[in-house]
Amino acid sequence: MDEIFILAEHIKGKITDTTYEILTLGREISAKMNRPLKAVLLGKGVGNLAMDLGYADGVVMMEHDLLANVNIQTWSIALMHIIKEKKPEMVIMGSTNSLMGLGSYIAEKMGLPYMNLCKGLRVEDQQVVGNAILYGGKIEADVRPCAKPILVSVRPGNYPGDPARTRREVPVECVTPPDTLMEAKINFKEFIQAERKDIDITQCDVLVAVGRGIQNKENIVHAETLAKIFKNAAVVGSRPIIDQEWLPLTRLVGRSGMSVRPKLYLALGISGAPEHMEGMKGAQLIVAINKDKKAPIFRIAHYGVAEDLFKVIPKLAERLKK
Amino acid sequence: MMDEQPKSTVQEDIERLFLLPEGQRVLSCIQCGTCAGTCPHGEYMEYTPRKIIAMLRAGQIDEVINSKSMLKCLSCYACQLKCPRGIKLTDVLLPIIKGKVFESIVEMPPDLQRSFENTLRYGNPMGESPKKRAEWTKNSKVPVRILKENPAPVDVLWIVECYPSYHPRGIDVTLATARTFHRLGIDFAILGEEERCIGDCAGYFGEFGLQEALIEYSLNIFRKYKFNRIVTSGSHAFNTFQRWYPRYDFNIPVHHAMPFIATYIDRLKPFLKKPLNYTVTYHDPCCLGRCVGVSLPECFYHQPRILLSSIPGIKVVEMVHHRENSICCGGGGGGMWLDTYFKAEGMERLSERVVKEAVAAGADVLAVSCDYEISRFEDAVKVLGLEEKIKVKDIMELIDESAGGDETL
Amino acid sequence: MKILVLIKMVLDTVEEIKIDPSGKKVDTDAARFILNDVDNHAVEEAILLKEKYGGHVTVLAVDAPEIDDALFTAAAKGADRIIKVTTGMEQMSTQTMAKLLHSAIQNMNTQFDLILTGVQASDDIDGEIGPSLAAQFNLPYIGMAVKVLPDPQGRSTEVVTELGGGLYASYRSSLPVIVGISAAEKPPRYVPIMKVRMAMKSKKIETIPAPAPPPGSKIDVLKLYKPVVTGGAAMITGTPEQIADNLVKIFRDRGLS
Repeated sequence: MDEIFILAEHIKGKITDTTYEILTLGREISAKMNRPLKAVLLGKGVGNLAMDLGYADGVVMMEHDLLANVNIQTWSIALMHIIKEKKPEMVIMGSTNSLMGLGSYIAEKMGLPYMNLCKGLRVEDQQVVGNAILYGGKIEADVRPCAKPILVSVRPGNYPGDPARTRREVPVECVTPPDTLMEAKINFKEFIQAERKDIDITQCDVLVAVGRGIQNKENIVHAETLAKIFKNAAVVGSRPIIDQEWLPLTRLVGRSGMSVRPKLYLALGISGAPEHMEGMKGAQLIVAINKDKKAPIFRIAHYGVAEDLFKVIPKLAERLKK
Repeated sequence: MMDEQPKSTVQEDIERLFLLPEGQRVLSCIQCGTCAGTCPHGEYMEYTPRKIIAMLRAGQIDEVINSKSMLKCLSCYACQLKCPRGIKLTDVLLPIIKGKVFESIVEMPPDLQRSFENTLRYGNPMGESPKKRAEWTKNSKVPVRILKENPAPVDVLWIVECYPSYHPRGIDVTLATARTFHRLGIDFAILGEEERCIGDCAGYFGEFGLQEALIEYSLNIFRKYKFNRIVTSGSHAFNTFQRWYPRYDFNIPVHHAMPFIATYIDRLKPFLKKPLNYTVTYHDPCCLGRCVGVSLPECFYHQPRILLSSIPGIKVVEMVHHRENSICCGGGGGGMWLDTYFKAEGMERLSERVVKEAVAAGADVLAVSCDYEISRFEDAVKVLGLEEKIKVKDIMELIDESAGGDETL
Repeated sequence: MKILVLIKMVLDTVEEIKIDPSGKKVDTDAARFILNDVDNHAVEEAILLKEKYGGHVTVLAVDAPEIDDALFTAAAKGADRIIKVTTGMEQMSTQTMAKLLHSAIQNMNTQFDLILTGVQASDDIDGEIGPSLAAQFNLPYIGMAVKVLPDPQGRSTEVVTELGGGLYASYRSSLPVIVGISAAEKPPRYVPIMKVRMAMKSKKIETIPAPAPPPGSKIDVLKLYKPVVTGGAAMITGTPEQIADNLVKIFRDRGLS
């Protein structure tokens, strides 16, 4: 009872990055409130994934065919049952595409408080307070639940996942699936991997962007080197780069191209034309490298480096590879 | 005898319009093709004006409407100027056809769609906050009166327009203009937050509903204040005032900032002390040339040249295509937001053509007067890698530079 | 096929957002509102389905500033009925709005096959409309949809959802179902202003008066505030090696490498 639960998310047999992030958060809360941290694992044949959740103190598992792949309806039935049985203090889940709607559905069904859009949680006087981001990041809100158990949805990218990637054996409590699971009206059919001639840059976590400061097509290899080191990264460009066909149209960021909000936007030799900034100013972390310290990009970047990018990039690549 | 195909409603609609006198003139086309030859996008247009008229006569106008050819028309008036029959192609034929295209277009290029949605919502195509329209005044060392704060009667209502209010290079020109007005002792004020797009491109593209909404809005705002005349920094806005506003009983005198200050040349000359050693070529914008020649007795070809010659040290050279033969910068008729679309269609950018001609003429400064042109030509200069060879400046900037800019106020 | 689309207005963030003196609400006096972008996609998806399969589209919203424009625009695109619920209540949380919509829909006495809404909004502090309604109506819910392929005879539908990074998942659901749209199959069409004006003259927005609901939210907003913003970039200086070291640290702290 009163334990801190996090909901483990898995896709195609792998625990997602966001799950590790909320494990880190869960561990923080668990330490501050002195409660055990448990990971809720729903699925079919997922016993082997329990070890990946070893950062928690234990795993609460429910297995059934209908839970094999994430499905808002079956997973909400399962989770509601677990909440009723185990009476946790809170259930933290990631604000991810596949879990979209889960927290809201359960909150309404069970009359529970739901703190949505959170970038973080903190504990004040043994009470949890959520820090939510509204209106595309323009307003933050501190929110507090009025009842228990508490449901929380945390946005990806706010906690480091790496500390939580510990594989170790932890006790697994198995929960019998409720009969109501069979009443589900939604069935998972299949995964579809999109056939793309090129990647969808709006789905990348890291974008290494080149502007005219890259000087010529051959130099783009510097950006590619960096992109390869990061996960889920791609090289993109501003208008002049695409116009000169140094990169295809699918890599254009800006008014006439894509609007992107990656975790990291590394702008190399980009001055920051208004049309370009429109397409990337929503990025979570903007780091700009441009020789010109007056370049407009520095107005919206979080960190700036007014140095020759050709001097900095090789050093950066070297260190990141370690 | 074969059964004739029943006419489509679009065909009938258009034919009805051609029963009017101007419309009848359109139908007197001799199919010479001069329009197609003059059109800067002629080689990319499936349906040039000549062909449109031929299709209309053949009862096949639907094909024209369903093609995307009309998106490439920049409403630059080149065809209308050269038509040996004096047919009002850009004024009458093309807006009607474009209007029909617009009504039925299935997939509108996203940039253009966004520019219309932004203009309707925020009063500017960039989607900037209307509240920030007068932010530039904070950087002005000369006082700029905003009517909402001080509604006393004023001589000149200065309509700054969208790009000159929000775009960094546009703001450079606007600040220079403010300084020049100040030096000339002009009594002026701006609308600030209350100003919205005057309604230029919407009409030439066929979005008449948007244009009407914008014109109605502006007229309502104008009624609130007392002023003698309007001076605008927007060349497209200037053209809209001449071309479309009179339909709404609007009869206030309107000037474009550049020819306006040219009328004060004697008062201006004493300020132009600093010699500028540039070789300048002037790009005649469509809106102050061919377009406006339709509604006004004269085009503004000599005013910019008078202004340039008044600046000490400046040598004026002419591009091959100048005055009435000037090549459109590519921004008219919605073209400002169709660059990506044009690129995808494999079209050469007109702004690059102009920059190449400017360099070929021996200029190291390309002077402009149209608010769309600075960003378009600077873009072209960068893409062509000619930053070391040529700079783009608005005439107002050159005047201000010779007058000492901020320092000699 | 009878389709219901739920839309709502959200604060237009192009303008500066002000927080009211209480610190717990947004100051809406000078604020502008815009149709929630994904709700616009939901409308588009509904119209596309109607064009493909035939049927009837109802667009329903809770009254809010500038909602009339959004409703008339939906009508100009092809919506058959446009309805708004009036309560006199100014701001409300998403869950509270969901309760209001629930009673309004119940009183409409129409059996809808498909209920579409935008999957999320920027002010969903306590939940989303779609799943909240699904819970109240005891209907299945699928979120992040990018394609809806109904089989009206078979009383079921396939829904494709986007998981990100080019991966999609396909589900089959019985009808009726509530679907949270992430993107319509085609980008929302442009409606010439003329057509919207014509819709304003020819169509009427039906109004359903409703009493102000009790707050549906079980969370308390302690305070709203603007995130701490440093003016411009924090500049990193030093030798290229030092700069690189600094950058790596920043990336590692953010879990990026």
